Amino acid sequence: MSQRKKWQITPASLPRSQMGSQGIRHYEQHKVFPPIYQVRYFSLQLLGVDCLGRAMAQLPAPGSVIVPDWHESAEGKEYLSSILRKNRRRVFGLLERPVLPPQVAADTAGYKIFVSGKSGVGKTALVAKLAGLEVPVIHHETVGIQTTIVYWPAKLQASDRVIIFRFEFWDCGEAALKKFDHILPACKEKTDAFLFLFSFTDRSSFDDLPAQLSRVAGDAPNTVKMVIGSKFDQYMHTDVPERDLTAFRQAWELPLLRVKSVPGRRLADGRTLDGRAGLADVAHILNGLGEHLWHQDQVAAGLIPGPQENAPEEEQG
Amino acid sequence: MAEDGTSGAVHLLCLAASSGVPLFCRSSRGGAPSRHQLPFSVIGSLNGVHMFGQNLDVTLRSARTEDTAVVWKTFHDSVTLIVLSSEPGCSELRLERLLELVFGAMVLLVGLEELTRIRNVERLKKELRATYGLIDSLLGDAELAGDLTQCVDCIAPGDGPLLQEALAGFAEEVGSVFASLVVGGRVVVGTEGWWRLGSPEAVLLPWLVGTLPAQAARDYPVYLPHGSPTVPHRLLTLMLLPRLELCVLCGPQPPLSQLEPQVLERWWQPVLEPLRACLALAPRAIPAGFSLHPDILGLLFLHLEQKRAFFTVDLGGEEGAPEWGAQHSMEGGSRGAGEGAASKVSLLLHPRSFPQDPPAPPPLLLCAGHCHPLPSRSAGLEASQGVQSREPQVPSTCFPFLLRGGVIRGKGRRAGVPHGGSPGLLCGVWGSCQGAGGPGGPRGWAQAGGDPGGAPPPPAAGEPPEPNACPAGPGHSDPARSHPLPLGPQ
Repeated sequence: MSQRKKWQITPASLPRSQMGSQGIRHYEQHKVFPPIYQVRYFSLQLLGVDCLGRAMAQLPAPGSVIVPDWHESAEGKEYLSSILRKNRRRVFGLLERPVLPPQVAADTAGYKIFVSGKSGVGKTALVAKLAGLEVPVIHHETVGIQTTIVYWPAKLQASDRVIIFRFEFWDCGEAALKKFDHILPACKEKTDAFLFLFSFTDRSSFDDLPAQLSRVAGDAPNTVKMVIGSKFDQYMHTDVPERDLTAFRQAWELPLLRVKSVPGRRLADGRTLDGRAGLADVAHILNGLGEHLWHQDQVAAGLIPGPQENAPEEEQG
Repeated sequence: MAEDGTSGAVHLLCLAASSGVPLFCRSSRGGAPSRHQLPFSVIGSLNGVHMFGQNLDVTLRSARTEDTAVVWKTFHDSVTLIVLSSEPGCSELRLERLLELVFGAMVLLVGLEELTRIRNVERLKKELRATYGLIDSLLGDAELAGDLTQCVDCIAPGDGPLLQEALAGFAEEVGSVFASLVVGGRVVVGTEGWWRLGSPEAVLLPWLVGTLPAQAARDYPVYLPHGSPTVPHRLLTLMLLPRLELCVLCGPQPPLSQLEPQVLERWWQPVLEPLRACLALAPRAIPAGFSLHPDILGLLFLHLEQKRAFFTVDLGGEEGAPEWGAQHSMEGGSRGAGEGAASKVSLLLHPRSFPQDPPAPPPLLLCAGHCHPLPSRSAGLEASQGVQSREPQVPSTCFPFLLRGGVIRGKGRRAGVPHGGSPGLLCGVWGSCQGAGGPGGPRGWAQAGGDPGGAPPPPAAGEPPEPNACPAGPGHSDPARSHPLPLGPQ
């Protein structure tokens, strides 16, 4: 409880979200995000990224750490080709890594990310989408733990350096988590980030978030936490109205992303997933993750002030 | 009866025996999973007729219509499986084995206790969804033959001893005696413990790994249908290269996070090239430099004592020869259960497609002790394709068919001559074919019987082969011996 108090901030101290209900209403009416957000956050119109508390020191503003649309540039495309093969996403074994020409060599930064959320919210589907793999057609609970590695090159704003992020997503079925007591500790051990998923079509998965946050990440105050709402495309059936999201954001001060659960684009043969298009669709999530993780590392290394220094002040204020 | 006239469809129904509630239905048509489902009334009648017999103390085992065979089987008085097949020439025996394997697959992922004491049907249905991938693959046209041969599908790596050494060292470091390398559902090398796994898990575990979508690593609780059906173990899989999985079966230790890239790289980076070579082997199963007589359409090597098999119908390595593809159909038959595993298993192979449309060749019939006439494409076809290949070619007289521990040398269009071979699998006499495979060729499996490399070792001395009996390890009913600590469910 005391740990939770440390990073729970009173609603009054938080700044208003820049893209609040107004932006969403615009989206629902016109099926596109307001132009300002498109430019700033959504180069690819699929995902809405909404970052709270960026005025405060602990969370980096979107685009402040990683050059946002760098993967669209000529230089970025060169790096991206190392994770593609014939326009498909390359699958890397544990003994492999992206190979770059020597003149453009880049450092690799590896992170472990635990994907948590109620059963059926789409954890496995999200990870498959990020990895450019086929999303399973029939839903079934993930049997145990499965991990997926996603390489993602990105350019840092501060140093103009290119980093290859190596995200290792840990995904496990909720039933297995409850049934076997070795699974949760294995997933939590040395994890760098938690992704909390809820589904816009499943109210209970949203209501469960606070419990998830304290149960899963309660004893890891200094790790990155992000919340992702899945099935945002089914807004007609949404069970989670914008005002609840706003209240949640104000209470929890966490970056929040929205993901559509739409089928990925295919190559000309109509069967294989288009690797480049798939990457473009998820670039925001990968950039967002990389940004928070890199920032977290910088804070841990003492290079920039972190939440520890700021949090007491905020609480007093 | 239940069929709508189209051939080549297989339907599998699973019902709770006591209530008759359908747990799941899976279908496959033409070798691929199909969405077509039987009407509920048909499912009800099929179950009803079986139950009717049961009430009169009569067990209905199978039935046959003009084009469809139906087989019923109830497991543990709790789950009834019904299979309908309209595949041409489908035997009841094959279907019965299929049902046993399907039930094994259900136990593997759900556990026997859940299946025998059904408390919540809806929850069980949900849990069983995880088995669909594996079951669909069993129903369909897999490139594997383990469901028919009841032997583990293997491939022969060029550098078997190197891989075996790395595997043994790795297994020791992580503290498990059950480890193997699997490519596309076929075992490349396995530790001694892995080969002691009983049936059906020895077949099902690699098969399961071959059907799962690509993941860097997995930590799956699995119940071994024979060795430990109620207490789960952990199956760890690590994708060293795409499609090449390192599998470890263990108890609570080690945690998945302990198998870090550094540990893997230490053991496996030095043998990266042999590992890559394994990828090229599947589904051909034998080294590429080893060219065969063009008449040979498929190969099946069985070692019935060690329960291992090589199977391939993908020998299209010869220049100009059409790719036969993996399309095949097999018909299994045996002389009845009374003869045990030593009984002859004969398999009929015939490729379905002949791109050049010659008259259909005679099928290749392999059975213990005999190599029946190999199929031959017409002489004209041979001439047009230039059988005199520029590549070094193994003389057809040296082509070994190895069954029941003996090597039989086959020859194109002539019956094979039994040849006394050593008891190990693939440790046959190569004679003039030595060197035909070139570097990385048949070296690994032409070596002596005790070589643990590509040729899995024969049973240790003093351990008499027990056909059909269950070997030690988790496959053994005695869990005390060299058995990992099982997982403790909460």
